[in-house]
Amino acid sequence: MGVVCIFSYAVPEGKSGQQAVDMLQKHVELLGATRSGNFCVDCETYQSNSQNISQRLIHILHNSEHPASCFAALDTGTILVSDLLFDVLMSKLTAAKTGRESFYQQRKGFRIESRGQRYELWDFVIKIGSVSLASNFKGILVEVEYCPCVVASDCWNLIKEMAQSIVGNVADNPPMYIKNKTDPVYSPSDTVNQYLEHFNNFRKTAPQGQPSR
Amino acid sequence: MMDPQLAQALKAAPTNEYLLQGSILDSSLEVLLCRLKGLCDHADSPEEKFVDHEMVYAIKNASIPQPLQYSVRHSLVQPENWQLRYLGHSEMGDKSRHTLIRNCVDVATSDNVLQFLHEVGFRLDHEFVVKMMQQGHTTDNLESIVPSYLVELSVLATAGQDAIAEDMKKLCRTTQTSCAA
Repeated sequence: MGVVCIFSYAVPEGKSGQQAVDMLQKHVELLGATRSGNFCVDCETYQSNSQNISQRLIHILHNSEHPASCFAALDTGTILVSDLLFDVLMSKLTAAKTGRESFYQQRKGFRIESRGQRYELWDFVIKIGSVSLASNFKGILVEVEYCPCVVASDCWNLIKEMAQSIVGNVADNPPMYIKNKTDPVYSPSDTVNQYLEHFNNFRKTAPQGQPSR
Repeated sequence: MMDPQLAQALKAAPTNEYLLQGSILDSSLEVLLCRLKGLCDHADSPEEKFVDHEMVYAIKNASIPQPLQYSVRHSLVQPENWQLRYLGHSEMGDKSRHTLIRNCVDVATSDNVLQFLHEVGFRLDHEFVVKMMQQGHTTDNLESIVPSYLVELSVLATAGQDAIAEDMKKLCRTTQTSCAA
């Protein structure tokens, strides 16, 4: 586990999402990266029922890089890292029985995920994911991880150089989340938080590009 | 919807707790420990001590009369260990069963679980400390309620393994006699 920066890659005009992903993959392979399986980060959102004390959103995320963990992020910024079985606890909160409401309910059509190819290139791990919201293509997220270091400010320049060669000037500045981070030590929850920020932006935008498949 | 591998892992997870509880007076503790040591492997290694702080949180809702309870268990011996636990109601039905059976889900979590529960809408209901099989009650100072010990025998398994209940009964029989005197 090192430091991860995630960039949103705009699909070039006249190209479909799938074409843009293919282009990025070819480019990364030309750099010398080797394929090391697939990856997936998914996010499901639950909202509190109106009768509850306060309005609250719970985002439940899974990251294939940490297959035994479940990340529960609140809209307050708190993020709980737990075992996979947390999904069972979540189902108790969302279970509605006859004549009574559940405490939380799933937001329909809000499931979003980034899925694609994982690459390794020396000390770097690169992931090119196409983002789909309720199976509609929404965009491309490129993740660049520098593995030997856990202090973001110490390795930003290395990540920048690598990321710029893939996604261009989107990587001129570190992601806002990394910039605003107070704790210098990077952790897996920071990766999840970055994905969540991107996912929330994608959810806000109108459909763009053509469907990838 | 869910990853099939994940779904399978969840299915295989032991979420049924077979439980027997009893209590002994302080004076019988030594005898019981001695008996248990004799029955267990590694009799010469020191027994594991534990001090667990358990906080029971509940969430309520106008349309739901029964609150949903989760408990947070925090080890005071290894303070980096936090667990979130859901306990179902014990299964009724088959009276010939020797033990209680209830749904039990234990999840290890990060150390911000209290803040998380609070923000989700849970409120603290009650709390206590379990110390080396002795149950205490927290006010300002730790104070034991009664001069006795709670003895709990609990096995987590997947559903339908009722043979475990039989084994548990047998084990209890062998320890029971030593404490009855």
